[in-house]
Amino acid sequence: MGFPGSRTKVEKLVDDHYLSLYRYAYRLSGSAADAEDLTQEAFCRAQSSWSQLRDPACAKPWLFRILRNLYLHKIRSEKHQNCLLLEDMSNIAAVPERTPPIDGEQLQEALTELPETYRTPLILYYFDDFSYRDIAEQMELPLGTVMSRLARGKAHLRARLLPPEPEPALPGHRRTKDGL
Amino acid sequence: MDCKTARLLLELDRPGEGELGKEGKEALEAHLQECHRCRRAAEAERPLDSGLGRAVRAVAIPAELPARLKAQLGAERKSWYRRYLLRRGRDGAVAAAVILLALLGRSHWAYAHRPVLDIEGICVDQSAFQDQGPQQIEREFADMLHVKAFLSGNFNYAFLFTCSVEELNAQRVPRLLFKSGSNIAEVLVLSDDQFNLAQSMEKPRFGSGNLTIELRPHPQDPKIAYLIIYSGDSIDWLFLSKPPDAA
Repeated sequence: MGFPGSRTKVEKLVDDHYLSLYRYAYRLSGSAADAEDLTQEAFCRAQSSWSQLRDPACAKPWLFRILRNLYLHKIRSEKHQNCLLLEDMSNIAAVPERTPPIDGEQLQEALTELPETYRTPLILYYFDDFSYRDIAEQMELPLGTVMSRLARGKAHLRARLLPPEPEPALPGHRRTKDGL
Repeated sequence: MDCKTARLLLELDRPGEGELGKEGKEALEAHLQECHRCRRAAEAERPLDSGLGRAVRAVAIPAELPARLKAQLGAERKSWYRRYLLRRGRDGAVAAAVILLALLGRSHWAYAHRPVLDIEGICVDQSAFQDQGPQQIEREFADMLHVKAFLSGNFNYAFLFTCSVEELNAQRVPRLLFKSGSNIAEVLVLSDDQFNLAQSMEKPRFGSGNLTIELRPHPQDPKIAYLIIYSGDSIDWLFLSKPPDAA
């Protein structure tokens, strides 16, 4: 392992990316404490693996990848993950005529219910800075898979966050132990 | 564009050119202008999507977060350098111990393999070259003392007492000790390969106490010279042309 990044460079990295990294961590983990730990750990990992960052312009996706790996490691070691059946969800979530205000806590609950493989592309998608291709690279998935997961994830959010339309009736989401 | 494609593109659409590109975006907008149902769907979908986006990004940032992050990173960096120095120190100590052991081993080996003196090979006494000429004595040097000696025929070898090998200025040179009565002459055979004879020859004879030192050239070979250290006033007895009185 090479030398850690210099103080000036690492502090600039923090200044440039701590907001988006913390938000990502929060949306992934659903907890402020976990988000701060993950952000801290991601920056520490970046500092100690500084030599791997060849192009400073790629710092953001690099940091996001580090953080996601840390999060995956964490949930694997904790052996808990919410599993939700999302099959056909895109077909059942109707869009209401008017968009009601979205409650932050409810949104986080809805995100937390999603498996990480659906949650991550959704969060990255709504962060605006990541194209579908960036998300696919970040997750090492084919572009089509990312799009399909995004569609299902968005349908799940609609179903969870928007009031059901009178016609047709929206079935509620259901949990399963078997995953997707 | 048909409605099915438009709905799919609506799903992929994002603010700006996004993923659809300029042409895709224009085609979608053209369809939305024409199709009332798709336009209504878009009018519902887009605010919802941007509302979700705002909500996803609306995460409260803890106070002093960057300061805490930087402080922790500083502590990590210091800890890394401390570990690095310890590791280097440990590696250095291991390397020093290995070198020390190697030196001790070498020293022990050298002590255990100290050379045994070859007393017979140190010098050859006069009995070995009684009545012998320079060629035979040169052979004795080569066979018994393992050095080449180019000897002059002018020396009176009847006075030769011993032959040996001497170290002179870190060079091994043949040494002949001549003795006649109370006169002694030590002759060191020097070669031009070992010493700069031309310059050495320019130096004058040197006397110290009862001893005199002089350098004489080989009568025929300029690449050979003899350093002669002798007692008494004259060295004529050493050469055949003037046999010594004492002999």
